Amino acid sequence: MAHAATIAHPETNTGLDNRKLAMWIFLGSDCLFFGAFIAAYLLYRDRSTTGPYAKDLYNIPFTSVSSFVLLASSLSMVLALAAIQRGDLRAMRVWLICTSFLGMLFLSGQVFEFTEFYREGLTPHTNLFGTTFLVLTGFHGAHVTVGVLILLSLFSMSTRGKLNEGDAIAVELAGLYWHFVDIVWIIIFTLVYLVQ
Amino acid sequence: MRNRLSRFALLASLLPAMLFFSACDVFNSPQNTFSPSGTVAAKQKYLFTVTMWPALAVLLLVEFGLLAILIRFRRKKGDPGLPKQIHGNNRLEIAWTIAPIVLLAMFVPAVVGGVIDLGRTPKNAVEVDVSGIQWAWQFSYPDPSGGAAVQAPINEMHIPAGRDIEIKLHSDNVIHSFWVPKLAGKTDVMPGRQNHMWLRATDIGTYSGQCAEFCGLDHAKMSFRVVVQSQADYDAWLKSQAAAQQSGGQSQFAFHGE
Amino acid sequence: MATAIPRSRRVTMADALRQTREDAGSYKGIWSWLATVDHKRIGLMYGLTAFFFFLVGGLEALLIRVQLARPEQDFLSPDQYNRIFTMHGTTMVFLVVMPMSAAFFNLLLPLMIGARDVAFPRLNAFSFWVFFLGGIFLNVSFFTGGNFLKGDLGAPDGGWFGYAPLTLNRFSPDNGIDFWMIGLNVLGIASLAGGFNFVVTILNMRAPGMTLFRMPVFVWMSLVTSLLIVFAMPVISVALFEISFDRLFGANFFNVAKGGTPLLWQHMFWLFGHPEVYILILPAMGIVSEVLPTFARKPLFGYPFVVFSGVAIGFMSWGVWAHHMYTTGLGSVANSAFGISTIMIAVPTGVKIFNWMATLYGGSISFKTPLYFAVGFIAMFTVGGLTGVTHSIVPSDYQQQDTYYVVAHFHQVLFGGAIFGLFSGIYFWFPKFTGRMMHEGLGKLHFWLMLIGFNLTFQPMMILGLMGMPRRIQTYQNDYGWGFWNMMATVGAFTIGVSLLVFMYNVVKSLRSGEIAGDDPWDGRTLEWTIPSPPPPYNFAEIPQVHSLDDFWHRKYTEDAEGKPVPIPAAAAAAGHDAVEAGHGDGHGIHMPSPSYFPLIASLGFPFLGFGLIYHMALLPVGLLLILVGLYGWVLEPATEDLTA
Repeated sequence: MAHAATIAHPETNTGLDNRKLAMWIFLGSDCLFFGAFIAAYLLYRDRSTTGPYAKDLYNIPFTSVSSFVLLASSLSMVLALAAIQRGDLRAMRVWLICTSFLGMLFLSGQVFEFTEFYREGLTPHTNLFGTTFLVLTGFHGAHVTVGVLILLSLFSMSTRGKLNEGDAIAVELAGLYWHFVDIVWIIIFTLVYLVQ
Repeated sequence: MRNRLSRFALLASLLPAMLFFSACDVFNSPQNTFSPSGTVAAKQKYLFTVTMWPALAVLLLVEFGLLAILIRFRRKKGDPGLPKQIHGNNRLEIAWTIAPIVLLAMFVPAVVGGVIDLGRTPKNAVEVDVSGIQWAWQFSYPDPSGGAAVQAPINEMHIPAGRDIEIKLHSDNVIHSFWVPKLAGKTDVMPGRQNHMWLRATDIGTYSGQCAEFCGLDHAKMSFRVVVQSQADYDAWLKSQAAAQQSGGQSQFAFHGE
Repeated sequence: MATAIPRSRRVTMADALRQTREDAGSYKGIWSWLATVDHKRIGLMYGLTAFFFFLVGGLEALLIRVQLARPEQDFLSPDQYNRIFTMHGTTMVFLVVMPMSAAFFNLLLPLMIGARDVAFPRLNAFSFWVFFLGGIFLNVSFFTGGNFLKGDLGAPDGGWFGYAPLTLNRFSPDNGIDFWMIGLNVLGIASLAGGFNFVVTILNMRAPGMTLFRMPVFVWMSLVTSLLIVFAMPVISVALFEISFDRLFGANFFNVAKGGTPLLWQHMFWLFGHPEVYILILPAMGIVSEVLPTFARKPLFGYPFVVFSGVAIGFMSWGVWAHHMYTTGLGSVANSAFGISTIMIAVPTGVKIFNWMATLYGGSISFKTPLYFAVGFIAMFTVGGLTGVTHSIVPSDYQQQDTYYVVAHFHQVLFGGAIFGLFSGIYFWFPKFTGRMMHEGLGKLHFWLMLIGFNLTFQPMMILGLMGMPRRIQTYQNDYGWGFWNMMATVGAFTIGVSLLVFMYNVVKSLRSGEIAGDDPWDGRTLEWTIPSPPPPYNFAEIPQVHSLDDFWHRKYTEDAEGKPVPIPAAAAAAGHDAVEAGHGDGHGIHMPSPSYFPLIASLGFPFLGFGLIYHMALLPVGLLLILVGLYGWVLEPATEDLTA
């Protein structure tokens, strides 16, 4: 009878916040999403029957720089989370804006790359390379776009006082997503651009 | 009265017989996989029955066991419904995990052996090129004298009995599946890649085959016949086809894929 | 000492309705359903929608059976036939069995683990609405092919498996396939959202003391199913995106002329498709594992074995996909390997069957309708499992592949298995959610008609397949001798149809005048039977403390020296029942999530996106806007309000 008072009711059974656990499961699921597209790319590598081929188009130095930009955005994301965790909302806003700026920079790099490739005659219709490459990196770009939207939303909520010290979890979730998208890019950059 | 009764009795005894005969009609199917006329189909029938009998035995064991348990342990009148609480028995459960593994493992050699045998490329075989089109089959034969390939009439395949036939499958449209149930199981006809299979007919006769992969509107009508002939008849047929083709008789393959 | 709800209190349907009305607060009538985030209401809507689609899919099956009843018939044209069998398969898999399982997850998981709702109630509503609209979207295609009344159907005609290149524009120029691929992707979003929700709910929301190995088997099977959904759905999504890009934007994923390969589609489809089979069957296995112990009045025999074999099935289901592709020319090594893995997946399934039989053995079996259906499940599923073993013998399967033998096999599993299991669950938990019992006599009539109809429909197909009848043919010639058994199958199919009429009559009759159930009509074993029927919106006035597997049974019975149960007097049972979160017995002061329209608004965007991709791009921004408005509103509104405030 006295049990009731003495048993502490844990927030969750695993100790992880529901939202955080859900985010991890979502990311696990998303791994298979990208995995399937990457597999299609690898399966069709070197099977294009007409050009332009990957080796004619890739500008590795350019893409290395934009990859570095995305990598750097992960660092600023970490700093944004650290800022809200120690209660420094102003610093958090700075780092959020910085992260989304870097994300947008990466996206404009991708737009530039797609335009260049298009000028060289590459569309999803041209060959298997065009199909698999554009769809794979296009979906990655869509993920980054969603990430930027989330970061900007967090920023605007914060400026209107709707994101406070107690809401570090929101920034943490956005961070998990952002780092994941970043890691996926590292894999794409390695498998798609570098290993040929 | 008596007359009417006897007439009724006659009818009543005829009805099951009639039902029985129409039920058995199915075994006369020209696509009955249980009455093979080729070595591959015979092997497949053998492998199926070898699996089917133990499976049937297990099935009967489970179904009758279940029935027996249900009858034996039904709640009787006055039973308070408080049976002994048994939570499990590790030894027993390990036993019925291991037993099926052992039983099933016995099939592994048959699977691997059969796959390798049916996957091999036969030597000294008669080659037939098969094209699946929407919705018909075109069979053609390399000319023995080195000329252009000889075409068979649409939806008709000729092969000699008692020899390995190597079948090469082509499609420039959708996926089809080449199947002559009495001679051999099916192999898919894939666009963009050439699959092949082999078979050997043991009996002279005509066999029916059918496309087994859904291929669009008239999939159901994509059937063909296989004429199995003696080697001499087959050679004569091939020669006459080649001659007809050379004299400009292109009529047979007016029907073509796009 | 915490105050418990007096168990004697009878709650009727009227009470329940009043309660839900109070719960909805300012939301009245239909609005309270559109905005609901209560897992029980969402579960009910899932169940009703899935049952509606079951009737649609069943009607399609009857049309197919009429067409095939006799040789050389023209009741359906080849075009109509192809569209209808495509929709039958697609509907039964994605719009019936999956959402029916989701209905059970919704209704039961929180109750079984002692929670007040799922982890994300609004995401749950979103899942339902996306599923609902996706299902409607898919079926709208019937009416887009011209004059529906004259028999011009516009539905997809590529088969539920949608093999490329048949599904490319060149071979399927009308937009039926577009509806199919977009509709399935939308349904995939619903399934994924549900999958995340249920995994988190099970892992995170269990009542104190409910360790993983005190969870009911149904909860375990739901966990495995949800994880399979989470990891299998992205694969089919990608495949569907690829075919969409090919059809809508001229990409080349499956374009043979540009070097693409149709095998890519098959690998991806079945890499999803085989786990999918277990997504369909595992929930029913979970249901049977709850029903049998209750009516045998014995614990499940070998709980750990049943759980582990379920988990093993979940893992192994990823390694057998190519057994759908033996005849595609994968080569000897791949065919042998997949043959062996298919042989071995029979083992955990067999273990379950033996354990269920051992559960009944030595019991005191009470023959109520749920037990009938559960036993029917074992009896029929065994046939499906054993025919599955014959498929693993690769060389002989070259004969059976794509014949009616396969049709018979998977209906043994999905109808004899999944559908029987789900009906067992409906009869079992109906009293919990309506407060009334279903009629036993009608229930048993339903069972016998369905069992006879089922065997009459699908056993002949086994013969037909072995006698060389291929699948998916619109008609067959008279001299093939297939007429008699096809007629039998048609008679069987209509018998199943009649059994469903009996079922529907039973539901209506029982809702009106069924016997009042009380909290615990079956002498149940799990937590849902501790609360009133129907459950109040907050489920548990006090979150229970769990001490063992089958916790509720152990509150009611103790075992004597011989292992026989001895009832614990009610008063003592109540005293031993700890509550963790001392609340008020009447639910005052419990904070429940407040109703919200935003999930519905967000999900409304998807049909706009779908129609936009098919008909006019101008609809796309509307869809995107709806989704964005829905999501932002969702994130920004407060999640909970005081129920009684």
